Amino acid sequence: MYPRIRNISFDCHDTYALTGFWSAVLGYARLPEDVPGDPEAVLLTTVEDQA
Amino acid sequence: MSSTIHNISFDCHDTYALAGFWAQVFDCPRQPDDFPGDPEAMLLPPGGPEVLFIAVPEGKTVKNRLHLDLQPADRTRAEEVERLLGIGATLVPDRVSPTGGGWVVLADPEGNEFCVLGNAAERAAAAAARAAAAEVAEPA
Repeated sequence: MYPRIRNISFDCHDTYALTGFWSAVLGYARLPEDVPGDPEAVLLTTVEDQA
Repeated sequence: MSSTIHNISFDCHDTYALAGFWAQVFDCPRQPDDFPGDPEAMLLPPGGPEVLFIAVPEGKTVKNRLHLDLQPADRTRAEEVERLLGIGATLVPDRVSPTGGGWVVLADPEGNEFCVLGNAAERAAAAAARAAAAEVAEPA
């Protein structure tokens, strides 16, 4: 078994604003714990990730 | 309705060589119609989005703003990093976590950075350690 692509990472300045944009593009929900000023934010893109 | 991620594209000089490297990373075959000098090459990693390589004239100048994070399946992060170094990846030394935890940053043969995470068990152990440390810092 070889590695799989776990996620795609974006370097950015404003994680919250950028995930807001990509959430609208892709239709994926923000995590409730992500807040403005967060050093990291995640959008969940697969059923497995959301489990 | 929103959009979906159809594929991930890499700009590069040598599509055939770079697709060959990433085919070894994912252990997936090249597309039969890809050839040396092709302006485009495609890979279909199992369970992942398609990965497209596009020939561009310009070189890479600064750190990629977007990268892949790989999770090993049946070996540790250290074992997978060793394998990847053996097939042509290079270590990006100034991106490695000082604690050795988290992830290891490597670059493909054209310098595109990517990260290798811990496998599922390593990630679970790290999460448990973080939770235990938080409990010590902030007792209930």
